[in-house]
Amino acid sequence: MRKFSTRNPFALSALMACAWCPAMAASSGDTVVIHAGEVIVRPGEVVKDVDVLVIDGVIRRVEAGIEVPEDARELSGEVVCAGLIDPWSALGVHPIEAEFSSPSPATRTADSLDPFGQEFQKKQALASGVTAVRVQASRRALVSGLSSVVSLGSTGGEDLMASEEAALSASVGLTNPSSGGSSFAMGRNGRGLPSGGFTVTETGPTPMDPFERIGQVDKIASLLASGISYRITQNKYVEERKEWEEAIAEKVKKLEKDFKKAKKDRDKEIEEAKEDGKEFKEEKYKEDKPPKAPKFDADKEALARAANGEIPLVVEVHRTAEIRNLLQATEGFGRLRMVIAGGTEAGAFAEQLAERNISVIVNPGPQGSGAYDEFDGYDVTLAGVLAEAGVDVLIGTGGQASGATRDLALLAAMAVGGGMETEDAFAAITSGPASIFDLSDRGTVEFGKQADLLILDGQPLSTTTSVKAVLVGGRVVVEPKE
Amino acid sequence: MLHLALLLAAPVANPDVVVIRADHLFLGHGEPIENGALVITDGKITAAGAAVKAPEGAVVIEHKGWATPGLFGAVTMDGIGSERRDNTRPLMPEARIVHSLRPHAAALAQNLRAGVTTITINPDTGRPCTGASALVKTHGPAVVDPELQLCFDISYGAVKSDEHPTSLASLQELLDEKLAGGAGSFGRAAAGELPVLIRARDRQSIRSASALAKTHGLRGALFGSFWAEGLVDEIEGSGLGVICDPVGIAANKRAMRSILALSERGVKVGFGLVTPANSPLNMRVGAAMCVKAGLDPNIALAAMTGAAAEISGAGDHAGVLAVGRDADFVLWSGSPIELSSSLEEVWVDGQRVHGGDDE
Repeated sequence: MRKFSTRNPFALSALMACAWCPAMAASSGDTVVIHAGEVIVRPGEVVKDVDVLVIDGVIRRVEAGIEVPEDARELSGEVVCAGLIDPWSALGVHPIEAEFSSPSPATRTADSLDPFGQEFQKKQALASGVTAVRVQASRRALVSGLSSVVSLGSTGGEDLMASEEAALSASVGLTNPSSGGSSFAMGRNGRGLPSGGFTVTETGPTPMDPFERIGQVDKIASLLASGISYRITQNKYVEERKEWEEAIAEKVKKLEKDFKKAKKDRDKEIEEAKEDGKEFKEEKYKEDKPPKAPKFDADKEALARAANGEIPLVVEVHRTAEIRNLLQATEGFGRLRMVIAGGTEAGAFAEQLAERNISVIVNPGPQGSGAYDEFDGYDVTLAGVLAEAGVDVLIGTGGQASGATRDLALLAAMAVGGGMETEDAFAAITSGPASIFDLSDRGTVEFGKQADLLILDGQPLSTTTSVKAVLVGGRVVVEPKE
Repeated sequence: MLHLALLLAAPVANPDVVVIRADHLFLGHGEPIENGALVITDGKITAAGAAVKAPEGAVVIEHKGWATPGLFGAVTMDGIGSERRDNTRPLMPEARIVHSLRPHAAALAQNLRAGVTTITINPDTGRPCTGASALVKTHGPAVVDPELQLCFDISYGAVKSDEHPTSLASLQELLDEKLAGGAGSFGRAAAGELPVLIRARDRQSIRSASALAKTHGLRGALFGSFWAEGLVDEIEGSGLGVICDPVGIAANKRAMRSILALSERGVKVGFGLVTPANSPLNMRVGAAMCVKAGLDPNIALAAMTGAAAEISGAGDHAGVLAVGRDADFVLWSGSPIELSSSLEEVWVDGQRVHGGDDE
């Protein structure tokens, strides 16, 4: 598996600048020292018998024999690792919003979240070690809008959102379980989208035929293209505006230089016009007319950001034909950072996905043979097959059942049972999601990272391991039971 | 040439005797045995345990990992296609689902690959008495017992509004009458000869089923654990075991709590496979989730093997590794309770039928 790169080195270096000093620690009320039998610093890198020092919510030191500052809270446990991140969750999304509503690309899941909703499920998830989740509303829509990363340890305040706009999400070929006319279908014509005329009901309640599903791929591609041309128009305007401003400045300079003469000439002309009984006409300069600003379009802006790789594009897609078409249709978007969600039949494309740096969020939950046809061919070996080929694999709970996030570690274990390396499976629920979704201050137990930490009595993916305590941002949110 | 040399060097080599040594050997009940061994002669187990000596000339296989009985798949509708339910009559005690079995059904092989070597094939629920289930080995397949359990559903969904019985009370009365009458399969169930499986989907039906079993001396299992929490007294008093509702990813905590409550009181539990709604792998997921919630791992293992078979009336045929039994077992990389463990080999009747070097 490829090593996840840190996309934002600035956060780290900024924190380096304010390195820990004892005097500071003594005065801080929020200091925690964890004595650990072992620390999983990052996937595959384990340090034995060390302490972790947390000050003001940030990891400051990971080393043996740290002197415990005064006022520091001391905790201990056999294994300390980073809080788990579910990259594909429905936690906190109201069930009505979760499956299908009428979003547009600029619709933000962040705006639909009730920070105090689903309290019970959140507590369960937190108690099992999940500290952050990427959530997406309206997963069955063609374009579901912008997903958010939510911190589960939050008290509902400023710290709730780890990332308000973590990715643009879309889906291809999802048949609706309530096929045959549900309330979702009624009055749900989506807002007209840039490409002209399609509405979100096309992913609606009835199962689609294969051609319709392939058609959705083309729509996603043309939406991305429309985002790019929007961005080009925007950039062109910025360019023209700059030129215009320069031209104005040039003219003003020139006019200022000849001001006296020009004023004299103008006064004379006014006089003459008066004498002739005519109206004085002010000289027109071509610089008087500024270039026209293009209209701001939030949807196209969101599409442009995805097409430009500023945020990842997550596409839920399962069947071979749709994956093949999606890969073809997006080939020309060189800066696109695409993430496939689900990818039930993506195994056959492993090499290509690795080559194009497309990561896949796998949901290894076993499906019975009665599952919807998009899950035909489901196999618990998928995560292992992809990782083996060098694809960045993330493991998520599928964005349908909010209760599933609690079982994230079990899903990762299942991927291991299906042939994935333990290290890769652990990365798939910690450093992987942090890297793909630009959460550069999370995912590992390293200097400068936010202290989202788990204290465990065994290996993180083991059935018999229990979570003893959880810290989010250095705050103990699940207290150890004495 | 090399093979020949080996044969010559071991003139008493007996390929019909195989010894499997495993780091951890679970026999279907109790605690796993460290460094245990199984001796298999002509497809049957001739010795099992810790201090087992390999007979001279036996083929010895060393397994780094776990060996367990083949998993027991309680309550499946595999291999019967759409022939799951007959809606015409409330009581069909003499119906035998085995007549609907399609031996080439893909679901049977799928079970085998997941380590499930024996399943019960059950008629669908939704009618009060749907006849007898069958016990089937997934390799072959081979019908081991064509009338395993007499199947009942006494949940609300089994009662129709336009056909007697139209209420749960009259259903109870009807079953009381038939079981007391002593004729046919009802009589055999009441005499304890034919085990029962009673679907109990809600609290009400758990109480009724427990009472029915106690009154008529039925043995076997309830099918339905979700609402068992709070009704453990009744269930314990009935003498029935409980085939649990599948516990999947995202399951409500009550599902795990109920199973824990039952096992804490010593009620025998088995995990239901319940296909086709669930994948065969789901049984291990359920076991893992219950262990995470506090269930003893050995009880969870037994609930996939020995205990599940016993309360399904298949205790003489499946679920345990004991002398005289068919050598149906699975070799795992680690404990099957750990979802990170992978299945390495499946053996049925002393033959490797899946995994190993062949693949």
